[in-house]
Amino acid sequence: MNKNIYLNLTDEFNSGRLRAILSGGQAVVLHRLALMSKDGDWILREDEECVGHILSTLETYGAVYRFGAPLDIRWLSGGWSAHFEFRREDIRVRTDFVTRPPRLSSDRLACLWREQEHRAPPFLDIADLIETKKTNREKDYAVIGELARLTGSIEDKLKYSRSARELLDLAGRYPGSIAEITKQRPALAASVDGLEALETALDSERRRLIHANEDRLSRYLWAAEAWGQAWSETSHTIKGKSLTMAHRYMVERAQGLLPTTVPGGLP
Amino acid sequence: MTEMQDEFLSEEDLDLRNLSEAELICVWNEWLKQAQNSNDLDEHEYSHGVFTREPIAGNGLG
Repeated sequence: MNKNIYLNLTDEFNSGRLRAILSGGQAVVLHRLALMSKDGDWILREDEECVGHILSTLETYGAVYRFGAPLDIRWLSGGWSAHFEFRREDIRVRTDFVTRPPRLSSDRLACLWREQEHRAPPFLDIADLIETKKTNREKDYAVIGELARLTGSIEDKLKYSRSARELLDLAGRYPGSIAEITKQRPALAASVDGLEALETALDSERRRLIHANEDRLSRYLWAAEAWGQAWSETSHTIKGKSLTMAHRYMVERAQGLLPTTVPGGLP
Repeated sequence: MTEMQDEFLSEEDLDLRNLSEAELICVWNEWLKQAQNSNDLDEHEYSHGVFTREPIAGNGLG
């Protein structure tokens, strides 16, 4: 066994078959970049066997539901997230799950499952991790800046770098590549106008990404309003119950209160 | 003169690259233990997924 709770959980989630890919801050640790998150975040396969296995694994740890969607593919396939918590020795362990991570297309997800099949532990590669880190939190853009330095290809550096100096250097050395990538990343067009113009374009790009994620989250928050109103009663009812029983109640209660799909919610 | 470069994370953060796997796990676990000091501050918050805060009792989403 590993001796880190998030690695141990990843091993147990994937016992017998690949079901869970570690993402978020713990994947950043595995890229040897920084320690900056207390919580564990996984992308799950969207099938019944998978969610059943995850729930029974969590039950052995005494996990309880936090406010969130039930760990059920009807909600997960609509982009919702499910959240649990338990204590292990002196650590509060939080486990967060999605099957439709933001900004990763269904084609990309299908490739991801193939690519991660024999990886131990499975964790998001740099480009996918960068996409999921385009959140509404400023600190994630610092992580993206460093992750981009770890990418191997010139194209990925041009797609993801947050350093105007490094982008200008690449623009000078690879004019053909920057012309091509500018079609996907319009901020790079400012490279012809020099450092200050490119810095301004990168700042503006970051703010646009932040607002786009805020818009996405606000759709889910609005859709979860009734579920939120009922949470005090729901959490009181499931308190002290086994995770299996709590899950059954969560599913039953969420029907009618939490819509499975949210218009404009998926990437 | 050394040329300036854009900085995103501190040198301390980036030290992880030179650790062996056993050292990384040791540092990781110690960091997680120390980070528990802020549990009271983020008790109702979320760092992943589509939820941002636990609902405040009686008032829906906070």
